[in-house]
Amino acid sequence: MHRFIINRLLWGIPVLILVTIVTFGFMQLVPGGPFTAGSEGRPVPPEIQANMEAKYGLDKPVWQQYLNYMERLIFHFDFGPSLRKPGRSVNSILFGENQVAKIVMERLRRDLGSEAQGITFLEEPGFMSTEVILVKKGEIYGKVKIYGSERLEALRRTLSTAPVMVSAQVGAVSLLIAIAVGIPLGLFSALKQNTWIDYLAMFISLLGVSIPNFVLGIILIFVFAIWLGWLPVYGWGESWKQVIMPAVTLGTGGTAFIARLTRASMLETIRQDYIRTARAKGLHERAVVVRHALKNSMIPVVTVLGPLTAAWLTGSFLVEWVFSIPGIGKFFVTSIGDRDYTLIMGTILIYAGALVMFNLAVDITYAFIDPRIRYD
Amino acid sequence: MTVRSSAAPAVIELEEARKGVGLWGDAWQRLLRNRAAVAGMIFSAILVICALFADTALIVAIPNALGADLDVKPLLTPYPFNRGDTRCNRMGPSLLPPSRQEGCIQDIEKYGNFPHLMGTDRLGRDVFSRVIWGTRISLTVGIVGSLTALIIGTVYGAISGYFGGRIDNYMMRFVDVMYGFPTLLFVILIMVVLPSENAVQGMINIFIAIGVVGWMGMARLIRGQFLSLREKEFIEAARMVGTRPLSIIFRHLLPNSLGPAIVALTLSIPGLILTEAVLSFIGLGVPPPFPSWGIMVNEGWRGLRATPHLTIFPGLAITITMMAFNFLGDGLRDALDPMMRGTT
Amino acid sequence: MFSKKTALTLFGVLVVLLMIAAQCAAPAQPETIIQTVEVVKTVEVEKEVVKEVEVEKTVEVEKIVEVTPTPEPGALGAQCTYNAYRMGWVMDYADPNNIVNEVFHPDSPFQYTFWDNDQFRSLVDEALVTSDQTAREKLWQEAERILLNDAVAVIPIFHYDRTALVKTGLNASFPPFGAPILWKWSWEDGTDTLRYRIATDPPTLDPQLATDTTSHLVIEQLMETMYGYAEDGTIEPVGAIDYTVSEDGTVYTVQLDPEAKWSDGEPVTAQHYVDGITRLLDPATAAEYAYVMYYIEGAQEFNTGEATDPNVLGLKALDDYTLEITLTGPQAFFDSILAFFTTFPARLDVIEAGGDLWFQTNFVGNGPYLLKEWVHDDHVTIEANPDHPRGAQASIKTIEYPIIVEDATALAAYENDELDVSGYPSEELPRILEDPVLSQEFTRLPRPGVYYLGLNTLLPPTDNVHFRKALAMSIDKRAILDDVLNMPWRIDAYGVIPPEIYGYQDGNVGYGFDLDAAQEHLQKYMEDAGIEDPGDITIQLWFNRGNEDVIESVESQWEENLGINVNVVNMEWGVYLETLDQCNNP
Repeated sequence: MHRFIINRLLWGIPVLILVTIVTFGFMQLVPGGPFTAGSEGRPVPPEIQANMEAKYGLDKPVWQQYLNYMERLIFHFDFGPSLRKPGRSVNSILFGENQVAKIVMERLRRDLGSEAQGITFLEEPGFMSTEVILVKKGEIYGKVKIYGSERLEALRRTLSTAPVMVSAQVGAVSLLIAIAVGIPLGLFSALKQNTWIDYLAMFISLLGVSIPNFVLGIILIFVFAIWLGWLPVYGWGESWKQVIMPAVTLGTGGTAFIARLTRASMLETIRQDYIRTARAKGLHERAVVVRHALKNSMIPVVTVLGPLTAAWLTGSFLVEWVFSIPGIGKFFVTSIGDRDYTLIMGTILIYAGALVMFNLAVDITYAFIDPRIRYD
Repeated sequence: MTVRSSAAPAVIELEEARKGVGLWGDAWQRLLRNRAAVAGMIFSAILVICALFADTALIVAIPNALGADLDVKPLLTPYPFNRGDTRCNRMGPSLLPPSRQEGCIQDIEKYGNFPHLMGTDRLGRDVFSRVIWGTRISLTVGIVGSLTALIIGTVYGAISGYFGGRIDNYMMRFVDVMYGFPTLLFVILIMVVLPSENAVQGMINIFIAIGVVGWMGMARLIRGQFLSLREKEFIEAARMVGTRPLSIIFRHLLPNSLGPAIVALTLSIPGLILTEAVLSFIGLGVPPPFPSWGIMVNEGWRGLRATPHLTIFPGLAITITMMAFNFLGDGLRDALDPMMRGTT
Repeated sequence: MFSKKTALTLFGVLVVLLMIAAQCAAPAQPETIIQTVEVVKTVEVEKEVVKEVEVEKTVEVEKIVEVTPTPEPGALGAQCTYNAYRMGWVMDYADPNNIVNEVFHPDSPFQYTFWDNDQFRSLVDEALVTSDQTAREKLWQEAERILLNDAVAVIPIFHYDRTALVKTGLNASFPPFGAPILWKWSWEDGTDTLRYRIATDPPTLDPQLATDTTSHLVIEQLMETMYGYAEDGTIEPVGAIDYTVSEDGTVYTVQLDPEAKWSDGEPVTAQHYVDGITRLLDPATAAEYAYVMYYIEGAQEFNTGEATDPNVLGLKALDDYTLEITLTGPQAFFDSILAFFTTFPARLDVIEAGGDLWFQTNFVGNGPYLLKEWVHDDHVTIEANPDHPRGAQASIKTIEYPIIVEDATALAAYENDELDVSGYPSEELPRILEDPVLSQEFTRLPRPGVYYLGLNTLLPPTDNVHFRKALAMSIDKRAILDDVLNMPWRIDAYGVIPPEIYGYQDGNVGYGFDLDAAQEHLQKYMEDAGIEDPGDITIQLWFNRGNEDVIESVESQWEENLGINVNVVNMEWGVYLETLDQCNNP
């Protein structure tokens, strides 16, 4: 088992490297670079474009750009600077800003008042820093100790506001909804095959699949935020209510999908010989279903849950767009329009990485569900 | 419906040569016994008819070819899909200069009124005609996209599955790499790279993009079928007799893996129609003035409260298609599944 | 036999095929470029000759000199297969120079029409040295007339504007240039908070790097420059007291306000302005709008790397509060540049200490508001600075900019009273205008600029001026705005200078919708070209995604009104610009 896991993880490395090569090549093929289009719908003059390309090293040969990128990525886990958000790094766009500096700054402002304006750090404090040197107008101003509680608070805040985490939270709640509703729905529908319960369940789930996310999202906003006034229209991080509509919107399609899959798989399982045997032995119908049929019929469901989890935890473009959620989902689309090469690469790598992980998780789950599957 | 009529005759011939019993005919019988599947089949057939006869072309062409110079009115779409028939401003005449107020019909957008049964959109185009026309575009996206995926996937999966071993391993790792790209992102990249000199080309690009993205799943499916089938006795027997590999692939392996592939194809068609709707959302859908349901939903959803009919009717069309193809697909699966034989 | 080797080869072939397909998809024609470069020279020579002839003529000459040579195969512009392309321009500052010269000058990098006219060139040169605004206005108008009436290189369609929903009870004002000045805003009931929706996360808040409206909506509350725009579009002093211009019009001396302070209490000195403009022009900064400052002596050389010493720049801090700016030549409109965001001062010490992200961790500004919080893709919050003269006057103390990408969501939030200023999806307009409350809150904001079609003056049939006139006269712009875009409040454009600035000529320039005249010109063209049926004429119209409504309307109007064929080519924005650029600057 361990060998299998390590083996699969090692296989992930060439896969990810190939992904970077293909993406890099693809970006070169796409006409228009990050600096072709300027703001306000106007082109950028050639001499200015040249300056920008030089600033970000895009004037170098493609292979050198690639090697530089990979070097930074592998040795420093640095996704590079964003090309269309000057001053910001892709790391900070995806994984959030380092909150230690912010918290120390807050303390200084509280203690020093307006005196604190203009104070910066000689070196950006990280989670492990215990002390920073303050600078004002280029001169050393003093030293500040960072408390452990501040570092903990910083970690908490970083985790809660990091765009990857925001996307993952929405995705996780959606997944919970999809699994908690989808599997029972499919199960009942299979057990009551060809009755009105079955037809109704399947009708509802098909309806769920056929409504595009953005339409469902806006309908929910109209009903629950405007007419009923129960939930806020948009936003994130202020109240638990804000997660409901996005999660339901994203979860609906998945619920329907999982329900249909569970039903089909269940129907197939209950026709297997061992289920007949179990029934013949006089086992309770419930015992048959729960102990034997359900577990075995979960294999196809688990199989699709792998890629589905990877896709949902890395953010849904449509849901984040409609509900204004500060996750990473919208970068999958906007980065391409912007030709923000480093951000495109970052988003693809996160997705691909998640996919490798969750497909592995699926394979491991198989072993638990089906004793016949072994990996040694 | 379409799938059966095109695939059946050739395959039946093959099957009969081998078995003497009509496997496909048997499946057909079982399919007919499934009420939901039959309903799905009928609806799908209606959709295909809508798609084929969306404009006058066919209806006018046939009598004209026979020498009759008839001015046949469009059978299904009373209005063209790309031109509005009124010059009326949707905000009512009050905001317009007096010269433009003449002949402006009020409430033209409301649905349920004759002659615009589903109302008109903001350019004064008849929504009913556009929904019918949208059938053609959306179904084409779904079917051509699925077929592209099927063809690429089958070739790839067949090679991988037939040879197995190291080749299979490498080819499947390549599929893993392709899977590593978020579907949407890949489609966008393809759509941006491909040039679109005109609307038709833009539409072909969508087919390509959707097909190119969908082939991986199909390849895995066919490969899986091949891997399990090639260990079966009848393939062993064929090998023993000295049948050529190509012949084994085409005469034995492919026909036997086609069932699941057809089911997957049927089920993927409505999925692709939805994918097109999402692409429209990003502004990379079928280029206007062609109306696809995805484009229409997109033009409407932001104004759901002001003009609900612009979203509801194309949305309903998507839902009906979804139901029809899914019931048909489920029915096909049951009919083709050998485990089901003898049960109803 | 079918062996593993063959299978591997097959797989290889598949990969190679995919790569070839990808190669075919990439538009690159390196062979033709060499030819083009040669022909460019011949065009130049012809231009020279014409110039000499022109000098002897008086400016009032009405006759058009057609400079456009018949295109040879492979000539500049002839390989660009468009006859017409769509483009737009939103102005930066209140002088026609920003549009007539910077966009439509034959040498402008934003021109893809290949038009040229020496009279236009000399008019522009003259306007730049004319400090009297009335006289300058005449010159710009004449130049505009040549561009539109004589050369017909451009067909303006409409003038831009913006619309928004602004809650009743909010005293809001929107100057035509720059961001709204929020310290001047107030609530009738005295509320001191404002929720102003923005549609994207500001790409950056670095004053020298930001170029987009969203970023500037925030930055221009945090930063001030020497001058600013009042609500009526006139320029008023902000960080400066007064300025003087030298006799030859090349040296501007600005007297700065000695009371001005940074948010950390430091006085704002002339050196800070020098630092700011130098930082903008530094090629290492790679600021998009650096080219706007090329009017300053040495700026272009410094920005393009020809000169590495920042001392070549015509910027000097005479003392703490006196800034001297030397220009490359007399630029009569330069006072409006003093109000443009390219002249923000900079605190190099803060920027150095804070690194790339200084504007986020420690924004030191000289404006009436302070940056309080910026949660990316969620909201930006700013607070009035009580120590700032204008910040102390501000009635609204806290401003939150919630970031909501989707218009439909923003409208819902607005109706749910979660926002005070918001956009709306155009699909909801009928309901907004019928709603008794919303229709009162519907506000039109100025946004000086023009949406236009450029005509390729080198490629037949648009190389013929009569044909271009026929095209210009056969577009009913009012109908596009009223019936297609459903924006009856928008102003149809006949000239390129927008109504918000001086020099606007209303309908007295360019060509209106006149089908009879259009037919006449079409007939003349067909006689010239020996064409009998207008159905034999096909033109290519290029545009980028998102403009389908307007372009399809233009297409159908040309087809119906002139009987010609129009092929439209639709491209994604980045691809579009790259393709146009490859034609223009090979």
